[in-house]
Amino acid sequence: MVRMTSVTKSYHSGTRPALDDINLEIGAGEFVFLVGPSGSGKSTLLRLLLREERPTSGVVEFAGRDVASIPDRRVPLLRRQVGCVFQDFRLLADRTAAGNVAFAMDVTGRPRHVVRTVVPEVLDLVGLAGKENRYPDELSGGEQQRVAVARALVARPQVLLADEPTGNLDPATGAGIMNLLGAINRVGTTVVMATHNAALVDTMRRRVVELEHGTLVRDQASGGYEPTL
Amino acid sequence: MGGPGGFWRLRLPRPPAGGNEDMTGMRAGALLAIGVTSLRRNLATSVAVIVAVTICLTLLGAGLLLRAQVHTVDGFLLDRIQVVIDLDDGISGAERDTLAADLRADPLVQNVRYEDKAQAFARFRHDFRNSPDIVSGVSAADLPASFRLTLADPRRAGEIITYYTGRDGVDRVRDQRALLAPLYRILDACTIGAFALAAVQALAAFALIYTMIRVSAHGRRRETAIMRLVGATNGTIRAPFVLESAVAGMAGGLFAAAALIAGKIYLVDHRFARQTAFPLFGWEAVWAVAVGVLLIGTGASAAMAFVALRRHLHV
Ligand SMILES: Nc1ncnc2c1ncn2[C@@H]1O[C@H](COP(=O)(O)OP(=O)(O)OP(=O)(O)O)[C@@H](O)[C@H]1O
Ligand SMILES: [Mg+2]
Repeated sequence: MVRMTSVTKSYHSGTRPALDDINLEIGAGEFVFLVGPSGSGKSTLLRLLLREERPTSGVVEFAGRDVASIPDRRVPLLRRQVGCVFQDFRLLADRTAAGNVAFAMDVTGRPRHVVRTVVPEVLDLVGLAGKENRYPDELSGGEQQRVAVARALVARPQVLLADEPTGNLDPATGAGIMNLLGAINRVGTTVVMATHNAALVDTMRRRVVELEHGTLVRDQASGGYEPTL
Repeated sequence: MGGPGGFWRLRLPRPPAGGNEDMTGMRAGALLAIGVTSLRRNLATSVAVIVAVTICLTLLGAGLLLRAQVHTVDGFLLDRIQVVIDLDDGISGAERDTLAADLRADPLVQNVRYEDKAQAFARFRHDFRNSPDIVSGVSAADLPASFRLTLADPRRAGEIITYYTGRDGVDRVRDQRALLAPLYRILDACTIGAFALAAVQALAAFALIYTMIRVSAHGRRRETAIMRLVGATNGTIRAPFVLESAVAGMAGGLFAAAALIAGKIYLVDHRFARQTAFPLFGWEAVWAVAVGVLLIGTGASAAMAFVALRRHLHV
């Protein structure tokens, strides 16, 4: 699904690269935690997959295609196949939960009748039944993150990238979001989640990829947050 | 949550065959809603843009109508009459024949045409068909019969005038070109002035549209970031901005068209038509110019937005 071959990314020439010679392969349907200290390059790795950035050298492949060589015109198609959620939710304050999800469908040209039927369905799936008409400031952080997940899901992405999705949430709420991502992964969506949340990583026991100063220092099948020898 | 098994029920519509390859843009309704919301949100800037576009297009339209006026006057003189010899109503047949023979023999005169009172009235009614007030006050008896001359050299009109003025049966000799020269000069100067002011105003409109797009792109940066994230095409991301500007331009065009129509009714028809001896442009010219400024306003504003977007929206 995702393959990185000798990927290096330097934002400014001369400085230490944000990612240094990364080799990584993620299969379809996998769940991967991306851990590492602040500034180790986790977000940069996710941005390469979204074509927000291009690697300085090396090849990033998604579904067999070299992401850097996708023509600009077709990048939106990549982004419909790669969903993403962030620590800060990124919702529109002047739209309801349903409105935020519908917005994502509207701007990608989905027909109105599809939007009408799918939005309540997806909000129900992420556990927001009955809260469709609440504005973001009337929802808890956990609920806002669920709206963001619902918005990422409506395009039926093959991969869901989550950049510290629990970073702004208390542990219990974070665990709820974690369960949601786990459920999404179980129906076949590949999930890559960058996180500092050691407790979650330790309880889930999934594949862990650790970065440090931009290099891959650990890739463990069912790892914890800290390396186990 | 709908229970952990809930996701097995996930019944999202399958993407079209070949994956999410459907690059269709936003529905028109959703697009329009975003554009109009944005216009309302930046009301002060939008109003400034509409005012600037209105002034610009009104000046442009006025310039175009002045040109239409020049054409109307040209048409009025289409038979290229340069000197007109008005005849006394009491001229005898013999006097008229002698005069005609002299004129035909005159080397300075290229062409002579006699126009009787009925013909003069018919031509007058045609020339002033857009000024009914003038026509209604005149009858065939009021207009003199005349010889209408085309000169071999229009600059020597003065010699003709001195030579024929005061002859028996001649009321007066008029040089129409000389009469019209100041009018042409005024019309030309006004046309150039209107176009120059319209150009300056177009610059102002562009600066304001540029600002409007900047303000609007700033206000909607979260929205555009999300659009990019969920895979909206560049066209879709830009469309609301272009639409916003086009709507403002169209509003300006409508106001300008209204101003030109009001100008035709209150200035041209009610004021000038009573004061001038020349025919004035008709409604066909006004409609053509009104449609023109509406299209130019909409199109140019959309194009200006496109240019501004290259600077303010990175997709
Ligand atoms: N847009 C950018 N321009 C320049 N440098 C950047 C940019 N984004 C990130 N960097 C640098 O690249 C390095 C890796 O940053 P990145 O955001 O990928 O780290 P991270 O692992 O996500 O950190 P955190 O856990 O704090 O989110 C850092 O040194 C950062 O300063
Ligand atoms: Mg980060």
